Amino acid sequence: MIASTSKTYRAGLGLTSLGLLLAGLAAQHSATPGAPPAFWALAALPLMALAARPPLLVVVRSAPVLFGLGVLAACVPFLQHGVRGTHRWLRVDRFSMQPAEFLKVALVLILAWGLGRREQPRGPREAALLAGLVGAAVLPTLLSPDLGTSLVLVLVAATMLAHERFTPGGRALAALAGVVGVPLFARFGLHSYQKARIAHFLAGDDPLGAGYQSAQALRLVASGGPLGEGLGSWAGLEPHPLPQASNDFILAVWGHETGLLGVAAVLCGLALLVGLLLRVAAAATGAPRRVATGVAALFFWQSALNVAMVFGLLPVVGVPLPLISQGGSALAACAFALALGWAATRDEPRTA
Amino acid sequence: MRAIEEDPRPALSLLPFGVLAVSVFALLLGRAAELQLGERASRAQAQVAAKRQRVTTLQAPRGRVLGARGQVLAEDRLERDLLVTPSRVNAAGVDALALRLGLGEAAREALRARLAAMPPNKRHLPVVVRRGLTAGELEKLRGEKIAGVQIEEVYRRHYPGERLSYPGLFPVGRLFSPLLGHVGRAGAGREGKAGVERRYDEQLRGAPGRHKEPSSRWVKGEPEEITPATPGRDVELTIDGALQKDALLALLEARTQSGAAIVLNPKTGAVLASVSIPAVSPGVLPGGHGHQTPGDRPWLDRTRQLAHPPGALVTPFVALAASEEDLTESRTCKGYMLVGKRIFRCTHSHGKLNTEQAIAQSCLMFSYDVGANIGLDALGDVLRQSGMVGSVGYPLGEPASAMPNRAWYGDPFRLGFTLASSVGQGNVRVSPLGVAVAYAALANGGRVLTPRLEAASPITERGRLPSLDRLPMIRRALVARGKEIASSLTLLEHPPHGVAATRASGQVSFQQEGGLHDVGWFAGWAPADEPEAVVVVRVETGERSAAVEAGMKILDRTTKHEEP
Repeated sequence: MIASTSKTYRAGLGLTSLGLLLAGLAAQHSATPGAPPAFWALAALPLMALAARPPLLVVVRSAPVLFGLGVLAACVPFLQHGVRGTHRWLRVDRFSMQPAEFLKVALVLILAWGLGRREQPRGPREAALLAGLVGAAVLPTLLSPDLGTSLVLVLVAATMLAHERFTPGGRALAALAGVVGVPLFARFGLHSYQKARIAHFLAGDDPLGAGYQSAQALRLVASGGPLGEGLGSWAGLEPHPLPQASNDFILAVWGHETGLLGVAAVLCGLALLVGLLLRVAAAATGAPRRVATGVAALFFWQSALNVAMVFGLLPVVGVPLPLISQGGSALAACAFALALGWAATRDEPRTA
Repeated sequence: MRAIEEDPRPALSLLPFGVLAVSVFALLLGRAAELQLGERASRAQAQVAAKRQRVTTLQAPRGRVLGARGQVLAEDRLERDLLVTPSRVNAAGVDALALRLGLGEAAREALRARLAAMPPNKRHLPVVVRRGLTAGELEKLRGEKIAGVQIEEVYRRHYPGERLSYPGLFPVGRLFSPLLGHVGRAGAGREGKAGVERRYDEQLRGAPGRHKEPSSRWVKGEPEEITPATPGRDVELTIDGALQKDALLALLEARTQSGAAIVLNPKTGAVLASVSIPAVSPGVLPGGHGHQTPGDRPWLDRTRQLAHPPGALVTPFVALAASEEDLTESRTCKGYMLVGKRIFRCTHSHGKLNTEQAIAQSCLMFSYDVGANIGLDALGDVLRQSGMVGSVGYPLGEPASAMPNRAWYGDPFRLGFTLASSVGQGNVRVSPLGVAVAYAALANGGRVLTPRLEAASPITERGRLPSLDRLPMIRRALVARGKEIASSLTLLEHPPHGVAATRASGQVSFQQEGGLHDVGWFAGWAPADEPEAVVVVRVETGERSAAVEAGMKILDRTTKHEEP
């Protein structure tokens, strides 16, 4: 990659991330009245720059270790007491984190590593091995239960694999895995509350029960109008109509306060981020290309699922909006993913 | 790690994915425009606008409870509380608050610890850190506002004598509790929970108002009153505050820790004083609800909610029953009576005496004899007619009482049941209010009046005593007994004269103490010929004579008080 172009990409990635982070800060401050602004979140940017310093290939070579640690971390919560019936949080003393967030990045790395180990086109054996890696990441996440993250993992993996060459046998195996896996998951993998959310979405009823958050979010986004009610106006709503608004439904807060103008800015920011990552991927080859593609897919699917959920186009699945939603684990994982995309802008040897 | 040769063919194009991404973002932007432009947005804005105004309820002050002489027995006072919201106050704010309130280092640390201890999900709620700020404290808190600190105005109920204490006997109680009762907390609507506060709640409560204000500092607008609060109406009682205090002091000076006294105007049925001890402010119940000793249950209004055997207080009414059955001939008291193998004793051998003498000397043989002749049910009828047993129509609730009949005992029925009841023992139970109504009827010429508590309520006659022609004789007997009782009192400096009175003791079995326990009774009126006040006292602990001592003192004081 030409040095000046890569600098442009880096600057673009950095500035877009900063803009989204600031929007997130403002929205979170409104969504949690009384809490001090989370300025610490801005530390994600220097950390991102720091994490981008090691050569990307070195990071990709250590993918098996990182992925193994990620899967292990996702399994440890099952040995701990659950939080409200879930095992999503790994707790050590007063510190807690969501391993599934890091598992998303680890999956991108392990797939980039695995795809670089075999010549193309890949046969059924390679396809099965890759499917096994995806399954190892999805299974603990799904059991935790975290439907949204599982969905993101599957979609990111599918996007990365879709850009690789497979033999007809390999493609058939991947299709078979999808045809068998989806009905099995729908029958046995969904919890009752998840089924209720999907049922509400399809039927459009129960606005005070399973569909409460969705209905409230829609109303609040709509109430923003073209220019919004003004920053901080969320805090004036009493009682606060959207529980846990600072997490997955942060866009409803932002949409209420900044209106269509603010929503459009955030969507453009996210689209720009994905576009830049795809441009980086298109300009790179080998592992950097795969990593950049994976990171672009990660940001795209997370953003699309979250925004569609808030806008009532999808059932509530629980996916945070990258760089904007509250949550240290999600933010750190996003920063790490962006650091990988940043690193992919550098010239690298064409082997992995 | 083994290096793999890169595939020489060009990589698969990312264009489809790029097109997908652009399409999805465009679709989402279109959806945002659909939601945030047009009629849907207007509708949602109107719905959300309603949430920008906080509608609060304005407390309505409860009406006052007034005594017969216009004394205030209960009233609402506007107080100011200091509230701190933990999530909005910082360390500097706490320091500034402590400085203005003049808190010491320990108090400041305690305040800080209390605010820090609030759980995260409640930190946005204000905490009351000081109730009822004084004028001086309010003055100090004026000036620059401290973030997270606010002053709230609340109405609180106040009762005179609510901190009355009597060292050694009566820890802390209320002069008018449990007669007046209490009200609920502000959040629960401050409805009357017991006593007068509950009975006249509809009149006292008033109607709360509604007030609208911007829900936060980010919302523009001025506070606005939607509907004003309507204060409650006053209730004027027949209670004489000064006499109430005298009655309480008389009980306390008689060194009893558990008892009741009631003063009734026999001509009007007005309740002039109603005292019950122990009595404490709600929420300060010593020993808990399950504690079973004579001195317990301070929440009970003992003038009506606790019944005991009346003992010889029933003798005048036994005499009335005897007149009904024409059993008024003279009798000879040998000091005992043999029924089967059981001996029923009198206090001593009175010799030959007529009905008047029997009442004056409280001869048990007379009651046994009449009871045996008229039977249990006839005796019960007279007690019920007099108001001593059964309903009397008291506004705060009927007095507790029990008068078993023959059917209640079932078979085999023993004569002993009747004999015990005829001397006010056994299973007969009465409360001071019922006794006061019955003795008021003796005093006023036989009219059984409904006890009145509200000054504006009409005088209601519930019935008449039987054998009214025998009343003068009974009154003479009680005057004679009153003289005897007064002369036996050595503790009183000036025992009252010209009173009609009697005393009695009721036997109550206490299982925990494994035996019988006597409660002391006193009932009387003064002046003897023109009765103005009927006094009934019951003491459940201490000397039996304490009831007489307290009763005489109260009677003495009633003659010194002007009739309200």
